[in-house]
Parts: sequence; C-alpha cells; structure tokens
Amino acid sequence: MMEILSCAALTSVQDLGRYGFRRIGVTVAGAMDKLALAVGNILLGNQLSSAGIEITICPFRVRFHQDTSIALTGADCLATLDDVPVLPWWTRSVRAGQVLTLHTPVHGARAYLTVGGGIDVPVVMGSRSTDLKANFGGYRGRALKKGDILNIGASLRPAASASAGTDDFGVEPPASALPSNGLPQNLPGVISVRVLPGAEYERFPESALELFWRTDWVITPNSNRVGYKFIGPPILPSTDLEVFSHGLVPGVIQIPPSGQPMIQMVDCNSSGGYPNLGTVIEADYWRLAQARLSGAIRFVKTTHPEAVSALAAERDYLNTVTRMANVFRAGKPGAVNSVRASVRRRAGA
Amino acid sequence: MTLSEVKQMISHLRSTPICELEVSELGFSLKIKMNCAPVAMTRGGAETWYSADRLPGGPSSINPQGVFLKSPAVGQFRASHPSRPGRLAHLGKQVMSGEVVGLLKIGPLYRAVYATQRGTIVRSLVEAGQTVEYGQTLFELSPR
Repeated sequence: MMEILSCAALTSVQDLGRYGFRRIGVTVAGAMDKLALAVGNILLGNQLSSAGIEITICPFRVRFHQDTSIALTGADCLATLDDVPVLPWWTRSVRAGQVLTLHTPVHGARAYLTVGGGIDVPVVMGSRSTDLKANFGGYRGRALKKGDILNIGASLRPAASASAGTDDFGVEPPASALPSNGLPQNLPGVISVRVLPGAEYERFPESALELFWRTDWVITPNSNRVGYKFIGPPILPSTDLEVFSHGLVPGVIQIPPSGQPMIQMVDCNSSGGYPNLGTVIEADYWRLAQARLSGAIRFVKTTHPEAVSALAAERDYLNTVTRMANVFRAGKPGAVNSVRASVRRRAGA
Repeated sequence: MTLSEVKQMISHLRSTPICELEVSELGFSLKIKMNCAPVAMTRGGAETWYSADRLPGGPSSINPQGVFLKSPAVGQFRASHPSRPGRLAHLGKQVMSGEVVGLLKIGPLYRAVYATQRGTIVRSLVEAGQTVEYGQTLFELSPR
C-alpha cells in the first residue's frame, strides 16, 4: 500500500489507455507521456499494461506502507526518498515507511511514478486509466488527493532473483536516446514536433500554411489532457470551411474559426467537426506531453515513411531497454544471469 | 554462445586488464581465466586493480586516510546525468554518504557510483566518456 501525503490537482492513475470503445464515445485516456510510463514499467519488470501515477503539479508526497520498488520517469522533479536524492529515469527499492517527494520540475511537465507490480485498481473496459471527464476507472474515477491509499499489485519478479541482479539503475531518457531527425534543435523554450498534413490541409492558402510552419505557437493556460490551445497569428482557410463531424484521435491539429490551432490530446472527444490541418506523429506525443504551459511548440512537416521510421526507432529503444533491464535484474529465463569479471593487473599489462 | 563468439571475447579480453570473466545463462556457464600476475594487495587486504603505483604521483601520493570510490561495473563513465546540465561531483565537493558522484553507462542503462561515506572529493581519476573496469578507482574522498 502507499498513501498520498500531499498532492495537488491533476494527479491520476493512468495506464496506456482504454482502446476499443471510441465508437460509443469513450475517450482513450491513459498517460499523456506513454513512453515515460512504459519505460518505468520496463525498468521494474512490470507488464507494459501496468498502471502508474501521472503527476502534473508538484509537490507530490507519498509514503510507502510496504517494501517495494519504484521507478521515476518523465519530467525531472528533483525527487527525494526521505532526504536522499533520487535521479530521474531511475529505479530503486524502497522500504516500508519511506517517503518519496517530487518537487516542481525544471524541465518537462509530467512525471510518472511506477511501482513493482503496478498500481492495483480495478480494470474497467480493459484499462486501469482514470477517465477524468466521465469519472470512472483509475482510483474511484477521480484525480488523487491527500489521504488516498493505493494498493500495489503483486510483482512479477520472484523475490529470490531480486538479489541476483541489481534493482538500482537508470536509463538513458528518450530526449537523448532517440534520434530527432528533421527536428530543429537549440530553439530555447520551443519544443518541435513532426506533423503529417491532414484532410483539410489543401484547403488553406499557401501563405497561411507557411505561417503555420514557421510560427512558435504559445501554449495557453487553457490547455490540459483534453487538448492544447495555442496563441499566434490566425491561420485561415481560403474560403469558409464546413466539415462534417469526423472521428478524432490524439494528435489531431484542428483549426477553429478563430484561426488559433488546437491539438487533441489523450482525453479528447471521440469526434469533432473543425477542419483537420494535420496530425502530430505518434512518435512525438511524448514531446507534446512534456511541453509546459506558456512554452511554445514548433510544427515540422514530415512524411508517412519518416513517421513510421520514427516509431520504429522508439520501439527499438524500448526493446533494447527491456533486454538490458532484464539482464540487470537477471530474473527472466534466457537472460544472462550473471556476468562477473574480476579485474587484476595481468602479467605484462 | 558460439565458439567464434568465445574466441572474439578472449581476443577482446587480451586488450583489457580483465583477468577473469564468468558468464552464466540458463543451462550455460563460461569462465575465462587470463594469464594473471599475483593479485596486488593493498591496505586492508582488499583487492584493487588500480593499485597504488598506478595513481598519478605514485605510491607516495596515497593519503592513508583516503577513501577510494570504485566502479561498480564495467561501463563508460559519465560525470553528469543526461537530463541535468551540472556535474554530479567536482573536486572539493562535500558529499554525503550514499550521494551519487558519477554514472556508468552500460548500453542504454546507467549504474550509479556512490560516495561510501561523508567527505570531500579530493581527487578525480577518471574523465567523462572514459571506459572503466569493474573495481577501478574513480575518486578519492577525504573523510570528515
């Protein structure tokens, strides 16, 4: 069990999302930064579908009532366990009674706390995610608050093997591990994401499109898990656009009549009717998820093959981390159980 | 593991100071012993690889009170965390017991080099990006 000692709004139990029910209007929900949540679960040897806690506003404090292991991924929240610092993108064991504190992040917007065995909340429609709009799933269908007690699932890792390897290690974060092909670097305060042109792209004049690609779009405070809204020069179609309502997925960039773009995020509605200018590629969702309010986003035009190859790079990264984490923990059959090298001065060396 | 992989491993070991390597997988175990000199014994009888005469300044530069922080694994030394700009430790830094003073990158993963007790970093024996061996001395700490 773990007890929430302090927690601001917008912290909730999330997994990779609730799929298969959009046709009846159920939102996908799930972690905004699915890559960070997935890496946390991989470091712990959890199933990828295990739920963690998405922490958006700090400080966040939690006391563990049992020995367990944790992983911290996503935004670097200068975490401390009791008073000892814990590095970001790191996993380690914790003892019953210890208190973990996450502070306001310097970079990034969302941190993920995962535990060995995952957060044990009921599975509703195939997912443990909290649907914050419809108030179901997760922990009692709502955001977490002070005093909440969460159960921890049974860890997949046999206790005996835990001592064979190490449970104290970190991982190269996606920001430095993944190639950022085609993304401009060194734009201070600006996060770049790749975009595939959408259904109504051609209905906008060349001048509006050119403006769309070169503007650093400022994220308004009115942005959240449902969607991000931007301020910048108005992007207007050549003629008034009437579009039938159509299915929406996270990442879709819509242009409402004001000409100020918005991006649909994980809690978006299942359909909408604004013109679709483009879609942020799936491999760049985590970059969007870590964008801060009042920060800026630059959209970079990409192609379908580039989008597929970016996703393949993300999968390669996850596969490599999974393989190496298994070796570190040395718990899984087939993995190298141990490598021991004793280093001494060799004759003549 | 194939025979050619074992041969490759042996030829790689020749270029390192590693004297003994043991790899075990499910139903498989391999031990490679290189032609080794007698183990250098130091203060307290602990085995070290970077023994006194390998330290800059030679054996006389050893502070008898000094505490040596060693590498927990074979890997590439990193002085800072990829998400953070500053170095984890620098000369003259006062560290707490259990504080991370450096990282070892092993593929996409990291192991931490911890301060084994409270003290001041008085010497750094490793450069960022350098490949280090298991047990290699990375820092000297003056306890307080």
